[in-house]
Amino acid sequence: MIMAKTMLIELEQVNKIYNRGKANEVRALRDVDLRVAAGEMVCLKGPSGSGKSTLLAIIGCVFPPSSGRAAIAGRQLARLPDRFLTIHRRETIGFIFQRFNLLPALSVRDNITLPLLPLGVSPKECRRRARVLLERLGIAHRENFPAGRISGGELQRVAIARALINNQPLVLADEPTAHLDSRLSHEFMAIMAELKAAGKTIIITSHDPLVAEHPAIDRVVEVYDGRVGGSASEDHA
Amino acid sequence: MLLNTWSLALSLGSLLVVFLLAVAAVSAVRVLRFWNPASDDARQIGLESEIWLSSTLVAYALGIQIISLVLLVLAADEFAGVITGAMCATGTLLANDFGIPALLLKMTGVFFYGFWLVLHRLDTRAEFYPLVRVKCWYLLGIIPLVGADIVLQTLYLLNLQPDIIVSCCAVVFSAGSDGSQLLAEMAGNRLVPYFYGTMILLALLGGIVSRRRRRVGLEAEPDRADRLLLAGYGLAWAFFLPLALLTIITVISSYIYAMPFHNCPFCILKPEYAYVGFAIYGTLLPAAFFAISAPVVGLLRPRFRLNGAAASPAAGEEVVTAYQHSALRISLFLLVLFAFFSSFHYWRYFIMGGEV
Repeated sequence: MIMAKTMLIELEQVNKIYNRGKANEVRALRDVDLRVAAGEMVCLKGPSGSGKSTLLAIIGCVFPPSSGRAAIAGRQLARLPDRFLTIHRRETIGFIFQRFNLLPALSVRDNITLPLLPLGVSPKECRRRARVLLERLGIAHRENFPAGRISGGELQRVAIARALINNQPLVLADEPTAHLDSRLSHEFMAIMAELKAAGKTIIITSHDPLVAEHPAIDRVVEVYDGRVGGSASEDHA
Repeated sequence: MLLNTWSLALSLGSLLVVFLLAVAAVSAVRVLRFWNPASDDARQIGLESEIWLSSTLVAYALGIQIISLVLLVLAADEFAGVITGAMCATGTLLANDFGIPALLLKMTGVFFYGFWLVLHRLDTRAEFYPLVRVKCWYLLGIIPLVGADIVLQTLYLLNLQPDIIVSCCAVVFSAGSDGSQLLAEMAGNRLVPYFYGTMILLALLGGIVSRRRRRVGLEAEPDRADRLLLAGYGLAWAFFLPLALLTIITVISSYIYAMPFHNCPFCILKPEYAYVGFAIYGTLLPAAFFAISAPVVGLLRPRFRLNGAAASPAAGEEVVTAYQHSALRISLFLLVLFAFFSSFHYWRYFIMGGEV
């Protein structure tokens, strides 16, 4: 008996046009169809300027598509009014940025617990959640260090911890290994594999073969010139 | 007079309002023609972004229009310094045929402008733009009112002649032997029992509605009795507002001035009377607005209900219920403050056995 997978992300005929109608109009995405099941780990692969980051931003509800349907768990979150979009994005999506986007003057713990501030979580609960994640990611000893004074590998783990602090079901990572050496990239992917095993849905944009060919990746989706090409299922077993 | 600082502030504010509303009106027409929340096409997604911008523009424009009521009164008071015979805003507003109509229209407008802001607030509290069409129709409906408001205000400012002698408030509002003065027919003290009677009725009605709501839970949909009581509360306020204004002018103001024959709605705004007029009008008008808007907003409940299935629990009818409850509580609180500010001098006079 084949079990129907629950689709977490459904993109249908999604287009994104920047500066529409102006001389510098850019058509970043063209009629993109993409479906990602809950618990799946997908790599969006393509050269620079192919539309990977725009696609990730639409999935992450950073902005709505110019046209088409982009739904997360059946709801078009990016088209919600700002007030609700902020809440849903905070509860549903964890972001890991290419340059981590941490605040160097704040401590590791404060960086990680920053997304909990608007939720009104008590300081005690913030500390508890941060502690659990820091131990899980092996950087508990850096808890009180300023983020500006830790190594690249540790920064990356702090960024991952921040993306997970609210226990979001969807994790999006934009070129996370672009500034990491091979060892740290391997470590990053190992952590992602653990998250996948824990039931998270993960989408990673990358043109790094190490990511695309990692055994934990279920599917590699080629993005080229704003279009989504064939999505190759990776069978590494 | 158009180059006076206050006139310039009013005129430039009006110009800005005209510009903002013109932009928003174009968006409103587009929304009314093409809005289709079920569609995923570029036009609909564009409209969803556009309506946010245009709603913000309208909110600012109507906010400026509401503030312009205060500005007009302050400006008219300032003009008293240059218009012969005028001692306060009364004289200057009566200096031509447009002053009082401009003031009355602005006062009426404040309620209509404020109601758009309430619609906008409710719309943004729901996930699915339930009032977007209502907001657009309403905006197009009040644009002529804003236009008339601005035209009257401009005509008033353009037709002010500093060399024409006008009457001061002592002449205008005091009952003379020929009976020709403004409000001379209003035998002030006859209004007082109605004034305090209605105020007590409002407090009782409001208190009952609030108590009933708290008993069944604030999130629960109001039943028929709640709705009727709330409608009665709003209607009572619609009756009380003009009554209160008349009572302030014909009775209360004399006690504030400590002069039996001085009845003026504007002198109480002056520093020599501790700006008590701002406290009186500043509590009365918003209280009336919130009380009247609460039952009116209830009429929009079906728009939230129709889309309820698609909305999260936090975005349905309880948005309306929450507003009604807040509006009721605000109006009751402001009623208490208004009762205090408006009655202080009046009751002090009787309790102390005369002016102290």
